[in-house]
Amino acid sequence: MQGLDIYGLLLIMLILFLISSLLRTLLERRRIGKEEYETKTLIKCPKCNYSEERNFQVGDYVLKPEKKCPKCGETMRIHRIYAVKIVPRK
Amino acid sequence: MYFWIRNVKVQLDKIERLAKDAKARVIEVLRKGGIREDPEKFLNGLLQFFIIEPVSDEPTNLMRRLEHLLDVRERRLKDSIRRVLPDLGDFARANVEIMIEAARALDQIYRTVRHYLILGEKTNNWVLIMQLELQMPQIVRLAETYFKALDAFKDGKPIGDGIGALVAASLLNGAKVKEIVEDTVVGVVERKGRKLYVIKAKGPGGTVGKPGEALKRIVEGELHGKVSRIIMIDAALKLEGEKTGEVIEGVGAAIGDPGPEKFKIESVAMKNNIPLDSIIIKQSLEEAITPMRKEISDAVEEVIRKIDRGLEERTKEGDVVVIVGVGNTLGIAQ
Repeated sequence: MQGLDIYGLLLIMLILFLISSLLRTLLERRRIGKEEYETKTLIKCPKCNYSEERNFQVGDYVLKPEKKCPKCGETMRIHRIYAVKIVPRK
Repeated sequence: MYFWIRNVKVQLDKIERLAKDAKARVIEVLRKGGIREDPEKFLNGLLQFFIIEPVSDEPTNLMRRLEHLLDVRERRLKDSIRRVLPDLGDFARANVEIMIEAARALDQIYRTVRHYLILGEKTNNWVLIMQLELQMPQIVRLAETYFKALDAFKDGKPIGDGIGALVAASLLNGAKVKEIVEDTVVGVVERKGRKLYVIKAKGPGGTVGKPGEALKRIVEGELHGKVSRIIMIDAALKLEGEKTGEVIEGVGAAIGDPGPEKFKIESVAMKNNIPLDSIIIKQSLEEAITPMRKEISDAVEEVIRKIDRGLEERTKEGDVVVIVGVGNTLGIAQ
């Protein structure tokens, strides 16, 4: 009877361990699957280095001339286009 | 074996969905571009377009024969796209071309997996089915990567593989360039008292150009071999666990083409006894063909610092150095 109790306890512990591992794996998969990125465009003034970041728009490309620099009036250019991870809101 | 087959079928359904969605996206782009024939028929004709590799048992002129076939394939693809989409600009057409390549890769993955699954079932070959079952997570991941890449190609966003081209564009910084070979440009800039010839693919359309041929023409045609150093910059696949955007130096031709361009670069460097340096930027396959991550984009400054140090340590003032920014120049001009 005593032996059966120990084996029963071990079995329950094993089942709990397996369930927790499974849940952990599923949560981890969901976390990885939800990783999303958005593309940003960084515009920079070649003269005074003033820069602005905005969302990517179709037609953007690196070195494309953009608007005038609000600080010195020089034509700004697209300096970089990159994807940044979207931080989920809590 | 039943459970393995069932699991492979579930995964295969997923790949099929991705392949069909990719096809639908390409068809949509073709329609928007004003295609002059049935877009589905046109795309189906290109999806299974093949290239027969040259005989390698007889290695004479192997690279030249391979280059010839690759050129013919490229020209066929470009001409057929130009024929049905004459009103689209060159850059937009280049983007359609790489979208078709991604859809083709997905279609190929789907048909290959389906082939081995049916073959395994027909012959009751449990070893084949087991191998397929074990490889399925990696295969699905590859298919998903190609699918994600489609968005970047459609919108003309720079991809991770374009980091070499981005470094070249940063060095050129709007300097005057000329198209030395089809889809490949070269510009001359002064840096640290050295004269730099900077080569990159012609952007901002999605193309890799012909950096090997361009290098050959500059070194042997324009400079008559009088080059102190060649520095190549390219994206390289990282090992799992390695940091994305890490910048590493080495020697050799940093280029991942099927062979001809790399062969030309090595031959030019060897024939003219020019040291060949390489700088690589590490990234995964997914990062290489999806929109360029910030960590990769931030590596530009680090690469330029390494180029500057290389110029100071391994060349002297007045020397001529050729910099080759390798990679797909999608979304990156010059």
